[in-house]
Formats: sequence, C-alpha cells, structure tokens
Amino acid sequence: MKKNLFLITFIFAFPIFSIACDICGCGVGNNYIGILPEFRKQIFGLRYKYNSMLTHLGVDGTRTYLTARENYNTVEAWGGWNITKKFRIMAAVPYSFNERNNQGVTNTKNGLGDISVWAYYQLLNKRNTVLNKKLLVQSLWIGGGIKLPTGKYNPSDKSSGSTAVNLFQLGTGSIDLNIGAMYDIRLQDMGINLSANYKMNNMNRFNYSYGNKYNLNAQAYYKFNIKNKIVIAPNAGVQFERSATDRDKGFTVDVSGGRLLTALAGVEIAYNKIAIGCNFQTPLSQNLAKGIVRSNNRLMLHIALAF
Amino acid sequence: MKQLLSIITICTILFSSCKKDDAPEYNSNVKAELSVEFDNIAGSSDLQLNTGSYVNAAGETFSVSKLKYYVSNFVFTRTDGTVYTVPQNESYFLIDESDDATHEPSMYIPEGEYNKVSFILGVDSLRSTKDISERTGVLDPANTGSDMYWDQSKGYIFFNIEGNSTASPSAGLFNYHIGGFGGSTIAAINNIKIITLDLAARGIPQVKSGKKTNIHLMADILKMFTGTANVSIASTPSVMFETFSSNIANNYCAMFRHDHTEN
Repeated sequence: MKKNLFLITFIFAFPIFSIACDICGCGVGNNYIGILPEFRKQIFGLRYKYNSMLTHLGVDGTRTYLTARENYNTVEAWGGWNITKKFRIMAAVPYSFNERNNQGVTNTKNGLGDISVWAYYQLLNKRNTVLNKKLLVQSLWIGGGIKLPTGKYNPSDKSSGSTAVNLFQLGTGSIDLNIGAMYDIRLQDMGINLSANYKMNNMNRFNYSYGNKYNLNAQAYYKFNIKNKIVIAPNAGVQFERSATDRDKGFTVDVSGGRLLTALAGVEIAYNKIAIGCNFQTPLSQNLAKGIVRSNNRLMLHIALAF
Repeated sequence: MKQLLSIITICTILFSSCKKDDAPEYNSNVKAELSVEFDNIAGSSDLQLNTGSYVNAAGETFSVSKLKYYVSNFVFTRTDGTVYTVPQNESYFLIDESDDATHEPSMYIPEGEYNKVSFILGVDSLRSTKDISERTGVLDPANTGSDMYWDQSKGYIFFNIEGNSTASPSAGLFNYHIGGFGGSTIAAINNIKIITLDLAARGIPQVKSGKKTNIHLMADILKMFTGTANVSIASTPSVMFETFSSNIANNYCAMFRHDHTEN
C-alpha cells in the first residue's frame, strides 16, 4: 500500500528533457516524448515515435515532382537511474525505420540511431501546504547530455539534387551536446510544467553540422486517482522549436532550420510499477527550411516499468 | 552543491570547446563555377518527352516531342547590390529537353553570394542581326541552331515546342515556334523577354572556387497555355511568326521558378 501511495503521489511529475531524433523535423526534431513517470531507483521503457514530413516542396508550398513524403518511425529503449536523491542518469538507444516516398518510389533506411546519455541534477524540491491544506510541490531540474554518432550518416544522401534537404539520415554523424532545464509546479493534482532545452551540434567528419536548436515546452496536466490504484493523467500544452541553419563545409545550408509551433495532447496511465502513455502533436504554425519542408502530425506511444 | 558546481564546470568546458566553422571568405577577383539548371516540368510532373501525358488549362491532353529554347545574357546581382554581367560571348545557351548535357549551362562568375539572376529568354536583337561569323556554337543556324532559326529578317526561334494532342485539328500535332527580335530596319514582332528571379527566398547561391554551385530553376510548360491569354491547341495548333505569338511569349515568361540552390 505504501508503495502504491508513493507512486500515486509522485508519478508523472517530470517530463524528460528532449531526447530525440535530430534529423527528423528538419533539425528542429526535438520531439517531445511525454511526461516521464517518477521512479525511485530505476526505470526502463520502450517508446515508439512516429513523425512524418513533406520535403522538397515547391515555391508557395506546391508539390513538384521532387516533393517527397518522409516517414520516421523510431523505437527507443530507454532507462533512468537515480544515483542520489538529487542526481540521475538517463540514456536512450533508438532504432529507426525511415522511409522516403517520391513519385511512387519508396526508399527505406533502417538502423541504429544516435545514442544519448543525460545527467540531471535537482536544484529545487519544495513541498508546502497552502490554501486549506492543499499540497504545493515545486521542482527544478537542470541537466546536460551528450549524443553519440552511433547512427549512420551517409554523406552521399546529402548532395544529390533531388534530396537537397539533409534529413534522411539515421544520425548526425557528430558528437552533440545538450543542456536543459525543467520546472514543475503542482497544486494537489493539477500541475504545470515548463521546460527548455538547447542543443549544440558539432561538425561531423564530412564537414557537415546541423544547426543548433532550442525548444520550449509548456503544458498542464491533471492527475485522477482511481481507487488509489490507477492514475490517469491527461495533459495538453504547446511546444516551440527553433533551429539555426545547417552548415556544409562552412557554407550555410539555406534549405535547413526554421521554426515549428505545435499543440500537444496526451494521456499517461500508471498501475503499480507499469506506466503507459501516448501523445499527439499537431503543427499550429511553421516555417521550416524556407517553406521547403512541412512537418505533419506526430505520435508517441510508450510503456515503462518503474522500480 | 559540489555536484552542481562540477556539472556546471563540465558543461562550460564541453560547450566552449565546440565552435562553429567561420563563414567562408569570398574573393571577388577569383571566378568560380556556377550553373543554372533549367529543369523542365509540367505541373507536378517532371517533363517526359513523348511518353508523358499532360493536361493544359483548356483541358486538352497533350504530349511533348520537342522542347528547345534559348537563354542568354545572364546577369547576377550580389547580396550587396553590385551586379555582374556574364561576358556576352559566353552567355548564349540552347536548352534542349532531349539532351541532358544542355540542361545546366555553366558560367564562371566572381566569388560571392548572389540574390538575383536575370536572363533573356531568347536572343537579343543586336546578336540576332550580327554577321554569321559572330553567331557560332548554339547560334549557328547551319548547325545546332538549325531548327531554331528562320531567316535574317525574322531571326531566331526563341522557344520551340512541338507535340501531339487529340485536340489538334491538324493531324493531332501542335507546334509553337515563338521568336521575333523586333526587326532590324522595319519594326516587327518583339518577343524578347527578360526573366528576373529572386534567389533569396529559396536559397542564395554561395559561389566559391573549389566547388560547383547550381541554381535549380523549374520551367513549367503548362504555364505556356495560360496567363495573360489562354492558348488552346484546338483553336491554334500552330503558331509561328505572327502577332498571336506574343500571347504565348507573355505566358511562358512566367514559367520559371527558382526551386532551390545546390551549394
């Protein structure tokens, strides 16, 4: 019973800092991956992400014979370990199934993506009783991470005229760095979560570097406790992503970078040690790669075991 | 607190170590290769000679057996506003859909970043009237330009499209031979069109020696049939040196779009 109470009190208090495909989403692909279940010692999970976009759109967003639809399916194994009360490590290993369809011809590219490792530190963890014995919980985490070039980067996919947008890759080919911060404030069962993440991409050995990017995420959630056994937490919010233009041998790549504002909604369900969740993201406003790329809806499903 | 300090220190070291490559420096005294690709399309399809079937604004289904046009007198504007005009003798090209080698005319222009290109669709009047010795290469009427020239008074055919259509009353064929440099002694049809395209919106060419830069234009032949005046294969299956040709020229001068730049 005590264990259950613990879960119910703490679960879903912490959206993870974006660990995501760098390439999907035109460099602004810091996919939001949902609210992370809280855990005491460790957590393991599997996450499925779907993301699609139209690339190589013509002038004024028209479809030309070069226009392609690219689908990115990623399955990610991930885990988190609490080292101390205030310090935790997280890692994710993605495997991608990417496909690109142009004029009825589909190319696929499957394989290991870029593995990332994060370290987080909790700067603030405050619990007060306010307004007629309501519990007010605040937390602030900061973190830094590294993304390794374990996904294959194929330089020849970049240069050909028909695929001028360098997105169809499994990895960036470079060691990239992340920093992020997340603030969560919750009054009893209702909470607001804000997070910010900045990613600095380095040049890979083919002298290509993806543009640095940041994303900001704000959302609200509410936790419904059902007979103190199941927690159902619907959540909704917005996310803004912005990416600088890529550089190829020092030259700016005009067909890269941009901004994307999405609305997102999801639900997280926890029962005992098991957490499942999903979320859906839809673009509200975007200008990617000078309009040459258009992002479509995104979907995420996950299951995790917390210990 | 110690942990926090160490994290901050690690982050600082990591992030200060990764500096982006500086932007390239351009030397305007050095020329580098730049090509302008004329990618002929029909709406959302790539143009396929003979095999492709397309529908024009009048709803007529047609195929194309020949598409050739002259582009000349290229002028490039740098992002700082200065202008480079390609030497005229190196600035005449004949785009022939049936010959891939003609689709990306190459020029050598000073290093730099350019946000505008302009060219003539056709052959300027001065060159059209020059002695045959100064009209060589693609302009040689006895050779490459043989199906692109009428005579001294009419000059060159700037734009030549031929094909098949069930809508045509003339044995299912259509042909539009559009030209007219304005006449040398007596004023005549003038279909010389200057095409100016902004390059900033879809990718600025960064011209630098040691690499090739390609400005990828798309030319949509469907635009030839609509715009200032609708052109119907059924009512005008053949247009040559005649006043109606100006309608077609006014239409096709809007067929070019800058799709992207390959730097």
